[in-house]
Amino acid sequence: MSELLVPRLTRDIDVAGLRSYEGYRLWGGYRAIVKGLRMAPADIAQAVSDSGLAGRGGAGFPTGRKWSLMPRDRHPRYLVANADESEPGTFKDRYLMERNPHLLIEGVLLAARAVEADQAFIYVRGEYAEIQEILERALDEARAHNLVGDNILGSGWNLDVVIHGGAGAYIAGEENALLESLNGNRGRPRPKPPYFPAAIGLYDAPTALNNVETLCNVPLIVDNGADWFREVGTEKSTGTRLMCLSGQVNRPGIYEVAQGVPALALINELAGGMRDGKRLKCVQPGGSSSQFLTATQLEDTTMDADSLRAHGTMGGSGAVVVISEDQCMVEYTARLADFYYRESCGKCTPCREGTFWLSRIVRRIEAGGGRQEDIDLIVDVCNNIDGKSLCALGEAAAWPIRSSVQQFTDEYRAHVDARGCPFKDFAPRAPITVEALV
Amino acid sequence: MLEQYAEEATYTVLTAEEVARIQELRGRYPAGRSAILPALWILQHREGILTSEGMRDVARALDLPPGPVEAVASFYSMFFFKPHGKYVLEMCTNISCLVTGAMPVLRRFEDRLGTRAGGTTADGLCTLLEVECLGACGGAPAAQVNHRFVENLTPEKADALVVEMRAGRLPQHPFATGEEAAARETLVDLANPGANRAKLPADGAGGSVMDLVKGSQTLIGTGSDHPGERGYRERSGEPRS
Ligand SMILES: Cc1cc2nc3c(=O)[nH]c(=O)nc-3n(C[C@H](O)[C@H](O)[C@H](O)COP(=O)(O)O)c2cc1C
Ligand code: SF4
Ligand code: FES
Repeated sequence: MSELLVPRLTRDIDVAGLRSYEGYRLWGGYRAIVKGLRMAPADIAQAVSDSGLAGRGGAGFPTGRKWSLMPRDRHPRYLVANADESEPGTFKDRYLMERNPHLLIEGVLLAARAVEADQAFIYVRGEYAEIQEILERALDEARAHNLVGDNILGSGWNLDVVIHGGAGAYIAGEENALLESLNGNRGRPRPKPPYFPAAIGLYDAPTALNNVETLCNVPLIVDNGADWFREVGTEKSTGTRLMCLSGQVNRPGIYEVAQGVPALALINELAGGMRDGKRLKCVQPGGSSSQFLTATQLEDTTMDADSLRAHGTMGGSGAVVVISEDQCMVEYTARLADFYYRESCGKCTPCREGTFWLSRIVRRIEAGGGRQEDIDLIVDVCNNIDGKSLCALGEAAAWPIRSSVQQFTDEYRAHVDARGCPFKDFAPRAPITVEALV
Repeated sequence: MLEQYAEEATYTVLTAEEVARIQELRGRYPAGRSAILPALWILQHREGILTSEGMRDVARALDLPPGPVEAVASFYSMFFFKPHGKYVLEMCTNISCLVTGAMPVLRRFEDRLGTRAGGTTADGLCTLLEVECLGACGGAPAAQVNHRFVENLTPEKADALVVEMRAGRLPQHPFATGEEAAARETLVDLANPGANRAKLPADGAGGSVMDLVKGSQTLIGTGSDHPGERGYRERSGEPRS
């Protein structure tokens, strides 16, 4: 095993049987909830604050601080686990839930206790039908062992957990859209302010909403303490992260590492280097919404919030998509643009119109009908989405597309000059349509 | 009053067990509306598609008017409103899959199945769809067959998968195709919401707003081109009533 790996959440994750209640107990599971039931809720929240745990869903907001924003003593209040995982490139939450579902349930219990929630929900994306079944089974086991439901382990504390399946919509992963969806509405975001989930969330009640990986860290923090948690990682980015390595590498997969590892070590040592001995061109270091890092930039990049920010990008959802020299960036970006166009919920104008035009313009360049002005036009459209849209999907579209055009301008110009893709035999392809789904 | 309505309600599509199951699900949430998605899944699992009558039953079981149920249903990409194949093959072509060769695999599926992405084979066996990231990027290129993952695809594996599918040897359970429901029930006219629910008065007789909208299609257009409105589009130029 590589020294770079720090298996905390992923310890023994490939051992058959970990998925069952008995297996999880042998692993050390449900020790933290026993401890947590003896602690005051505020002390659990304090331990999480002290650990420095920050959200693993994309925005990286400090978890303890998020919980502290919930108004005291207003009930009912809710805890929601965001298992909607749909950021392209990301598959860590699925891995955790598939192999260690009880860890999420214990995390939900502890987080719910910390924020004094009256009920908890796990919102799982519709495509994860298998995962929903695994979670349901684990939840039944937990219920049978009096870990979920009324008077948990005789403590007098009650918590009901509901697994809620989505039905296909990237935007439903955005916190307010998720709450709308769970509320039984179309999954569209609500404006912040006033709809900060901590204050006006699910059923307009105070709500804590956290990513699966974030919640899975909570039992370990309660069990081992905040100091133990901070033993790995950097001063500001504490603990580990499950890095989702995908793309043109030899060994794609999930690698749990301390935050702050060198980006190239991740690619070359853990993921086994580039496939077919090709040269690295660039990566998207934090999912499809993050700005690109070129091979040169990667040389001094470490995988923690500060270093990534200094390089103009972000850690996002922990998805590292590795792109080799022979991948056409216009084709890649066109696919990204299609994705955001297709998934924009259409509620606000900059994103609705902007993603439409981005998709059209990038596809036009790819198909050979581009003009030199289009390159500036793309940047202009991105600038008019960035900071002007209702939710972060707008920025999620604008950032990587602008970054692509700015960092790989030559490729765009070459497409315009060659009236098509100069890099490969090219058959232009119509943008994907949604009609087939209706 | 609503309870009374529910008791007297007659269901045309949902069975008594399904109604009971939906009402049990509804009890799990602080608000009954939240059970719309799980209830729609129950409906789609059995019928293969969501029909007008089916959604009306769901609304009834939840004490809701049909409007919100249709509005919710039409927002999400995983619900079907038209019949599809016994197998629904959803090929991801998003970034991780794109860079590992999803396009050649998709083209191979198209060739072997004899249908373009978005279409269904002539024998009704398989519907091929191009979809967004499935959360299987570590096994890219990836697809789902009836919501079960198939990963690390190559054109050769695509060939084999189609052979297995034709031979009826796939481990995945076939879906209800929706053909039966479509023969019996009313397909939802997503381009014209509300049309299934209430008979509109004849031209000029009622003066409802819907009539105004319908009467001025050149002014208002026949539906946004935007996928956010994806529920309210129609594939073909079939005449609308
Ligand atoms: C368009 C969009 C999609 C998102 N999708 C997800 C998702 O699938 N899973 C997730 O955990 N967070 C997602 N987020 C981030 C959530 O809004 C939210 O910040 C996060 O779940 C909070 O949890 P955390 O603090 O534990 O990270 C998404 C955000 C946006 C703008
Ligand atoms: S930014 Fe896009 S996804 Fe978000 S509310 Fe506006 S249109 Fe919807
Ligand atoms: S990009 Fe294809 S499964 Fe994630």
